[in-house]
Amino acid sequence: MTTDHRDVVRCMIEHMRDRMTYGLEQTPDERLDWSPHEAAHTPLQVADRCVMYMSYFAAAVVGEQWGPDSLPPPSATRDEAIARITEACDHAARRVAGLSEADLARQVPAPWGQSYPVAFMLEGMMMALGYVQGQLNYLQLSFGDTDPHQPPSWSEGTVRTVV
Amino acid sequence: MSTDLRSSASEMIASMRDRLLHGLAQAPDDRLGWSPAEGARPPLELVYRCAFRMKYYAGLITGDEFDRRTPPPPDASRAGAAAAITAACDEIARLIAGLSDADLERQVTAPWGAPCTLASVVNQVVMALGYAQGQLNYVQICYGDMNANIPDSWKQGDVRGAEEAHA
Repeated sequence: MTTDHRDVVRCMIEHMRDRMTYGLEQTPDERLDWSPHEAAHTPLQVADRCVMYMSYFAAAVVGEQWGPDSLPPPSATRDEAIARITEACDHAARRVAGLSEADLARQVPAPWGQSYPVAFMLEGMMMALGYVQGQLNYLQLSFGDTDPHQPPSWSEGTVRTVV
Repeated sequence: MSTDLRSSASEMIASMRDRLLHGLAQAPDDRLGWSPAEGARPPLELVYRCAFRMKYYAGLITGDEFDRRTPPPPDASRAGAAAAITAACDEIARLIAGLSDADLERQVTAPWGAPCTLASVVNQVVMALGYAQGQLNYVQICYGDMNANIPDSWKQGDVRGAEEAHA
């Protein structure tokens, strides 16, 4: 097992991709478009937020301009949401794997205006993946599902890697 | 800022500590113990559980036994939750900053039972803070607070490092 910052982050992106997609698979059909409050996101909307964050970070770490206009329309089905999460996480993982040591020190702007080294933005990816997973689990708790939905691949050590 | 995993994670932990504290400070008194559904946790409990999880990760690093399945009952005060999350974040950031290269390679058991390195644990800590923040924002949206509650320190770039905070 590696301890290189980029490799550790890439592995965790793949782990969290598998947990998000597994959590969506475990969500009953009638809850995919449900939330406990009209202003709060539904599971499909949380999935789309995950795609948005990964798309943003994948662009930010290589210095690309990013805007929400580049995102597809909201996911209408579970399969669509899962496919988009998989694609966005795999794309972000490949971007992280392709960073050089020098890239990690490059300053990039965060959405709130402050600039940070790419290395810090890699931790931002971890934070964002935790953020959306926390919301998906919170939704599930809200309709009585107390299972944290950790995918079988986590305990079997069979997480699919993209690089 | 350094580009090293340990220093990047420590900086992020300090940032997330400040955001959780700011979010907690923005919660009205009558929402601290409120949640949108039975089974969903209210803000005070979310913050306490996050502090508890930080202690669990600290135990993985130090090798101390820690039973993560039995969190203590939450103190029913905003100040108590704020103190708990501050202390827990500062402690885990301090421990991470002090890890050697050899420490990062040390194998431990992840919360889900699989082997992992302490390098992975470092990122699990950041992820767990994001997890709690996502849930805190979700509760806040459910009572009508649409603000992401990002602290001013994020915009000014003056987040205190954990070691600075202890100095």
